[in-house]
Amino acid sequence: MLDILLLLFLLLLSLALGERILCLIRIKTETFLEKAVFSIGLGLGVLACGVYLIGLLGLLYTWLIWLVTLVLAVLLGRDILSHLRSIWGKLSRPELPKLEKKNIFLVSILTFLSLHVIFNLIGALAPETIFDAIWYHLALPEMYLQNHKVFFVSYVDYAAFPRMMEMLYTLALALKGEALAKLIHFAMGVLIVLGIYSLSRRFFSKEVSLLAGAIFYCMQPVNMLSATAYIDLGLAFYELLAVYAFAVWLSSRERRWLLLSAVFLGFSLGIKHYAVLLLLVLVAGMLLDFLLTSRREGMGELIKNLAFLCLPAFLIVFPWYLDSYIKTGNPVYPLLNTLFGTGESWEKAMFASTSKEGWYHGHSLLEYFTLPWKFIEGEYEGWLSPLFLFLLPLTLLIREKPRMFKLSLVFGLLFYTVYFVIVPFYTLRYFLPGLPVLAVACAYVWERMSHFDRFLKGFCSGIVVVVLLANLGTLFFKSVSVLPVVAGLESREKYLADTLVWYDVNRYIRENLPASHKILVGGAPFFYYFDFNYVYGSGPQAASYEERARRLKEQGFTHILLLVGSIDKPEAARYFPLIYNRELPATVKSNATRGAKLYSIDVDQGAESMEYRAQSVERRDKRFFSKLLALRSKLTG
Amino acid sequence: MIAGKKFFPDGIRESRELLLLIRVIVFCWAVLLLASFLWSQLRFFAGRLQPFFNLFGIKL
Repeated sequence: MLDILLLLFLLLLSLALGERILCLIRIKTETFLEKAVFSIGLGLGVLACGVYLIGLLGLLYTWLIWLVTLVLAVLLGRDILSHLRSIWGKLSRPELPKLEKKNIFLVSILTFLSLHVIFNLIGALAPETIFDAIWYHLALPEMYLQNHKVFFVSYVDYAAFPRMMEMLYTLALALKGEALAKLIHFAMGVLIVLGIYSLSRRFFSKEVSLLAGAIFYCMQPVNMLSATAYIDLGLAFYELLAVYAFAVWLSSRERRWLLLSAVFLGFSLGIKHYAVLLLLVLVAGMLLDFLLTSRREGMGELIKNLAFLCLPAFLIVFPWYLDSYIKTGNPVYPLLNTLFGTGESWEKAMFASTSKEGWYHGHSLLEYFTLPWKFIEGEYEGWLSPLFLFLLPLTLLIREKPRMFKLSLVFGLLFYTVYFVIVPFYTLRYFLPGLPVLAVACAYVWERMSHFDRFLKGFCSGIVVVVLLANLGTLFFKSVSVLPVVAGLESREKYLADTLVWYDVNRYIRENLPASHKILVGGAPFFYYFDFNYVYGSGPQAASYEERARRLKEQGFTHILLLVGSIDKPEAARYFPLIYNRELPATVKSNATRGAKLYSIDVDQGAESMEYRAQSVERRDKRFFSKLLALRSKLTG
Repeated sequence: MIAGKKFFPDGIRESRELLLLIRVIVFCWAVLLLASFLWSQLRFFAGRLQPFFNLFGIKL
C-alpha cells in the first residue's frame, strides 16, 4: 500500500514539475488530461536526469535522494495540492457512459480495461522474476546505490546503454524498494492508455478513444511488461508522447509542439537505442508532409523543422553517448564494436548464440507480409492482439477517412517497415511503440463500420469482446498464481525459490558456507538476486582440472556456482565436488527459471567431496527411514 | 452497380450479394485469426497454468 502511495506521490510531483516546463515553453493544451500526460512525461524525465547527475557526482545516498525529493515536493507543494484537489474532484464525479442498451458495449470495454489494470497491478506487486530485470534493469540500480555512484559494470553486457528508466528505478529503490520500481513501469502502461485517450479525443469521439486504449492495453505483451521492471512500456509511453506532439504540430504548425516532440524523442533515445526507429519515422513523416502538402514553405523551412526535431533530441541523449564513449571508447557499446575497435562483434556473437532456429530473419518480402501473422501466433515473445489484423483491413470498407486516420495508418506502415528493416531480432515488444497509434486507427474503423453495415459493426463488437475476454482469462490465472505472495500469505523467499528454482542456493550458501566465501558464477547472470560474495565470468583457464582448481584457489575462490550447464566429467569431480544441486523442474514458471549446481574447489583431492558424500548418504538414509515409518503407520492404521 | 466511385461506398445496401459476400469474408477472416490466436495461447499456457490447477489437485 505504501508503494502505491509513493507511486502516486511521484506522479503528482512529476505532474507539478512537468507543468512548470510546459509553461516555460508556452505549450497550451486543450484538456487537463492532455496537460497531465505531457507534464508527467516531462517530470519523470527530469527526475531521471536528476538521479543520473547525482549518480555521476558520486552522491547516490538514500538520505540525499529523499532530501532532494522532499525539497522538490515542498517547492511545488501548492501545485501538487491544487492538482490533487482537481483530480479528486474529477474522480468523485466521473463521467461514465450510462448503462443503456447502446452503451452496454462501451461499459463492458471499460470494465475489461479496469479489470486488466487491477490484475496488472497485482502482478506488479509480486517479486520480480523476469530475466532482463534481474539481469540488469534492477541489478544496475542496486549496484549504483551500493556504490553511491553511476559507474560502468564491465561484466554486464548492457551497462553502457542509455539508462533513463534505470535511473527512475534507482530513485524507486532508494525511496522504497523493488515494488515501487515495478509500479513505475506498471504506471507507464496506464499512462499510455491515458495518452491514447487524450490523443484520440483531439480528433475522434469518446467511444473511439476508449476502445483504442482498451485495444492497446488488453494485450498479452502489455500485461507481461506491466508486471516487470523492464523498460519497454516507458519507451512506448515516451514515443507516444513524441508522436502525439508531432501530430499536433502537423495540424497546428506551431513550432513549440515540434520542440516538445523532440524533447520526448530525446527521452526515448535515452531509454533505448531502438528509439532510433521513431526518429527515422518522424523524419520520413516530415519529408512526406513536405512533399505532399507544404512544399510552398520552401526548403529552408524544412531544414529548420528537421533541426528543431533532431537537435534537441540529440542534446538530451548526448550525455549517455558521451558517458559510454568515455568508459568504453564506443558511444553505443557493445553495438558496432568492430566499427569503433572496442572488441569483438556483439551482433555476430548474438546471432551465434541464438538458440531458436529462425529467430534471425533474412528480411525477405514474404517475411514482410507474414510477420504480423506470426506475431499473432506468439512466435516472438508474446501475442499481438488479433484485433489489429482483424480491424485494419476493414479500412477498405470505409469511405470517410479523416486526415488523422490516414496519418495514423501511414505512421503504422512506416514504423513497421523501419522495424522490419532495422531490427535484427524480431521481438514483439520492440514493435510495441508503433501500436498505440494503430490502436486508434483500429478503433476508428470499428466506429465507422456502423455507416457501412450495422450487422458487421455488431459482429466486430462481438470479436472485440471475445479477444478482450480471452486475454482477461489468461491474465486472471497469472494474477491468481501470484496473489498469495502479494497478499503476504506466502513468503517472498519461498515464492522466489519456487519460481526461479536456483534462488534457493542463496539460502544454502547463507546456512552452510563460511562468511569468507568467494564464488565464481557462470551461466545465467541474475545479479539482482545474488546474495553472496561473487565474481561473474569464466575465471582462470588451465590445461587440467587440477591446475584450474589451484589457480582458482590462488585467486581466493572457494566455490563455483553454475546456473546453466555443469562440470560433469568424472575426473573433474575430484577437484570440483558437487555440494548442492537443484535440477530444472518440468514446469518452467519464468524465463529466469534455472537449475543450480554449486561446486566446492578441492585442491586436496576429495576431502570436501567425502564430506558431501557422507552428508548425502545421511540424507538418503533419513528419507528411507521416514518412508518406512510412514508405511508402518499406514499399515497399523 | 459496383464500380468507380460507387465501389465500397458507405451504405452499400444496393448490392445485397456483395454485402453478403463481404460479411462471409469478414466472418471467415475473424474465425481464422481467432482460431490461430487462441490455439497458440492454449498450447503455451497449458504448461504455465499448471501451478494454478495444482491448487485444486488437477494435472493438465
